[in-house]
Amino acid sequence: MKELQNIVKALFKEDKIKSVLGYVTEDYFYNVKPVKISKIEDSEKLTFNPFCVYNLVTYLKKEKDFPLAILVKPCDIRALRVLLLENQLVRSNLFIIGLNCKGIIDKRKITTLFHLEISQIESAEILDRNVKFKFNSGKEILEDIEKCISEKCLVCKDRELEGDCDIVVGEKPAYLPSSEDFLEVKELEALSLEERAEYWNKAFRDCLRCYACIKVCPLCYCENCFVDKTTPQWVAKNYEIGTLRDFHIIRAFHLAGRCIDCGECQRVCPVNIPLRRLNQKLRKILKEEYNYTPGKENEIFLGSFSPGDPDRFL
Amino acid sequence: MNEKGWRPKIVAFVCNWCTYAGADLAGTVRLSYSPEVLLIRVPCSGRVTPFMVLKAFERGADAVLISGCHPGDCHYGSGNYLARRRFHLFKQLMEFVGINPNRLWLSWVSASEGGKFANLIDKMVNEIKSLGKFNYSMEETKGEGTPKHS
Repeated sequence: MKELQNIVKALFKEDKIKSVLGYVTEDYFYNVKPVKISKIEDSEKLTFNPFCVYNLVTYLKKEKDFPLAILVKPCDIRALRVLLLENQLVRSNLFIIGLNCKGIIDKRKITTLFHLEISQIESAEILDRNVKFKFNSGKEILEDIEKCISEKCLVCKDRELEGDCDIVVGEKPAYLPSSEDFLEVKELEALSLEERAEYWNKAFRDCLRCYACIKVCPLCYCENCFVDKTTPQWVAKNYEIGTLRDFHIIRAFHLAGRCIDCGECQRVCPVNIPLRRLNQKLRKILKEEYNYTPGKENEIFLGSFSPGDPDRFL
Repeated sequence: MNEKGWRPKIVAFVCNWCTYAGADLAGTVRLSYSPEVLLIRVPCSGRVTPFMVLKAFERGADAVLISGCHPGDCHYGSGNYLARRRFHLFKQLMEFVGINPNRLWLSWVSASEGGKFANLIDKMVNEIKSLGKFNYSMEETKGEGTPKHS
């Protein structure tokens, strides 16, 4: 952490940045908050631990206070690359500090493991295939990595930071999880059309239309979102299942060729709609049929074409 | 689901330069084709967005057709290529959430293919007739209580 804090302090001293987007912990170790720091003395508080789930790139959507430094994990840098590709940000305004990441702990998963004891966690460290939790009482527990870290981290194989970051902090992960990607999507694809309709209708029916999934997405940056438009009104203002379904189809489709799988939409959903599966489905088609990985390419997917694109729907 | 005397309603987004002219030709040479189709003229197939398709379904369409120039013939150069990518993805997403993908059709019909257009519409109407009415609001499923998702 000292390394990170020193980098930020040096940047403030050299007057290279006005502020920094980072993480702090206050009351509990697991309770990480995203912050924007504008004073050099506050940079002492900056931290990075396996609970830093937030994608800070989201906060760049409304940022006007440039130049600034931002802390990015490998999944966040992919979002940043998409924003730069779409000319939403100016690279020279940013100082990108890459954080080597061994995976992020899913709070929901460990709550079921430790229940109330979660508040006594003093530190957590990811060691290859295990996570070591230290408690206030001095107790130490080793848990299997699959039981603790987020689904998205279990399939995250691309953790490259070099090339896009101004500076990289921390050591590279020695071990990458080997889970197969798109397993959940394949499970759903194996169902019949009616079964899938039933599955999704059941999930969509809970939707409150709180739009948290849109607000948290680092790549949903339209000033006038389609859900707010009234002339014409694309999605009606009601809770009919058809409307809810349309809303979710379009939300996912607006991320086609852009979604970098940070999993934030699903994490913030108050009614646990498996939103990530919709995005994963699109990522799967892209990968299998177009060999396109969002956040790695130099072309915008839906704004480019190749004469040999698949056309079996005709 | 089929009521007596029900006839499908098909919305066709046709490109101004090719398919619309093709449909015009079908009329000029007095070919007859099913009257269940409603043509909406758009400047280019690349202009059609998934919004329009879903809106058509919401307003009671049983199927949607998007038709434009053949690849390489687009008046604007690449509109139909972009439409092809877009709807190739969109159709699979529709299928993934449980909408029958046969309700969304794409085709290329040039200005000289009046016969092809008439055949296409007839074929489409027959197929949609066998699929039946599109139940946009899907009958409620039987599950009760708060569903749990893993």
